[in-house]
Amino acid sequence: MNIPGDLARTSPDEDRHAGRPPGTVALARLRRRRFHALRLTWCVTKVNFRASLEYRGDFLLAIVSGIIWQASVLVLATVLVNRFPNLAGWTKGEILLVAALRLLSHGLYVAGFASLAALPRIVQEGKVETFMLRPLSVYRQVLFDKLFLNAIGDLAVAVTLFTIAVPEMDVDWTAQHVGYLILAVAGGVFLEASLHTVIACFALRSISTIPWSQWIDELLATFGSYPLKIFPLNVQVLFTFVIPIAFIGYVPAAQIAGKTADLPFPPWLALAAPFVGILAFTAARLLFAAGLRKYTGVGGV
Amino acid sequence: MPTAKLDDRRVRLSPARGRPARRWATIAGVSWRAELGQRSRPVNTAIRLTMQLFVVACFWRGFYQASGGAQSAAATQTVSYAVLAVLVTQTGGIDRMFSRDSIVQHLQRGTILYWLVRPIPPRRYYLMRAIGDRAYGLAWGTLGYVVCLQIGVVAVPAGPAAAVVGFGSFVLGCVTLVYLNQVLDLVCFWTMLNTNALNIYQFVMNLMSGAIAPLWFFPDWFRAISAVLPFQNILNTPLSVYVGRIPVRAAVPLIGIQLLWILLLVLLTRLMWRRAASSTAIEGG
Repeated sequence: MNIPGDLARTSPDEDRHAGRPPGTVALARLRRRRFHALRLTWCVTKVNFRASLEYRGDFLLAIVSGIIWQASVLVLATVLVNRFPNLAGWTKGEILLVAALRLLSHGLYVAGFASLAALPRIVQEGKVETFMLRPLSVYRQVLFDKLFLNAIGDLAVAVTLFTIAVPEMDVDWTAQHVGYLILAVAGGVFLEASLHTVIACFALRSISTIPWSQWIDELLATFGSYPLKIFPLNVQVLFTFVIPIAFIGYVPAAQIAGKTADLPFPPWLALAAPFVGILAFTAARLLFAAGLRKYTGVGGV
Repeated sequence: MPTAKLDDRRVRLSPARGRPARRWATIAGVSWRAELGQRSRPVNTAIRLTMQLFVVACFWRGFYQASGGAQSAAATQTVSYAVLAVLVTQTGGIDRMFSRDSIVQHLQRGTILYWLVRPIPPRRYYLMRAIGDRAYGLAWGTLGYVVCLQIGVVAVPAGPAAAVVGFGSFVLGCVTLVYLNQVLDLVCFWTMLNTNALNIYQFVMNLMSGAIAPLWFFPDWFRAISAVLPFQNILNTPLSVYVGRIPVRAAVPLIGIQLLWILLLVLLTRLMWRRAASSTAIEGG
């Protein structure tokens, strides 16, 4: 992250000498770097895709595993919604919207960030030391480690669930609603990534964090797909302020369905739900950077 | 005789020396030593288990409370079932990847060769390790069960007969699980990778065994499919007998089915081990 340093060091002089408005060079450099990062991401994704094609059977199983896992969540949601209709004042469509939001965020998280859960293995194999020697952030190299194709299955189920949930709801889908939905999904992706980034910080110190990653996945799948109003207040507080999974599906769905009165905080905060994910992710990245500075190596083959 | 000398030398080199029973106990104890060797691991397990038990109990109570049936017998049965399911599933699988002793890791590193040439048959070694894993999980599960029973999260068994039959069925369920896991691990000898196969198996097992939700919530067609698969033997049968959802008399044929599945899985794994040993491809080394 040396872009701010570049701006301060070179841009004003270069711009002044060339007679350009201040910041022009820095802006061009920033754009070049962003383009370079995108190109690099594309190249690595292509390589990872080809690598995953090496084992054709496993390639297909990866997609099927995404579908089956999320389908099992969908089956449970459908069974519970039918068994307990009008749960705490939430209709079937509204409950399915909570699950769909959670699922869509999860699918996108898996596509971009799922390698975080593999950090214990990366540490165990002594690859972090190699990452540190390369001119690319360690965090990004961890994300580039492997392509998780089960994201395709996750996203397929999420889209299916949306198509079931939306017609069931009595909501006028205005541009504001759609815009908020997109932001909420993005916020959900970052929130899930932040939870796994925090676990990844511990993986830098001890490699026994795999069960925690699995536990968070289960927690999100099971409890993130239903209105938290059914839980006692202490659990609502836990899932809102400690492990804030409420902001992935429940809070945005409450905002869209007009049920913000059910939330354990002022309704205006529901509007800011997407930004909770971004804030949490920024904090988690800072924690990861701090953990990396103290990294001493716990593995090696 | 040269063969005898070779065997003697192998026995001397073997880390688990002594009488067979002691040798097997040493192998079964590897999981315990690996888990207890790092203080953070049991602490992590305790924290994770406590949190999961708490939220699962709240989850199911919440559903019944929201629909106005919090005090019903069905609510007690469901909460007890769900909490017991957490105790079984969360303590069942030791992270073998952590101690680098999974079949897929050995295949990728080439060290699977040692499994095949040492004097301990690989099938028996695998079985003893699996028993050690389950015993470690069972110790945690028993501790959790006693605590949950004391604080009233889990109800007492539906009767003395239900307790005995439920426990017997639970033991058979553990054996079924060990052999099912073994089949999935052995598949690696042919596929070289089993991560996604394991994922699929895990999801299907969780759903079909009743780990996600008791099977009595599901529609008839789902239970019909589940009845012809071995997964419901792992959780649904023993736990449903315990909470009284399946009467003891109706459980007898189900136990027969459990035994039949175990027999089939034992024969299948024997065949797979024999084939695997004769066609092992080493990927690394």
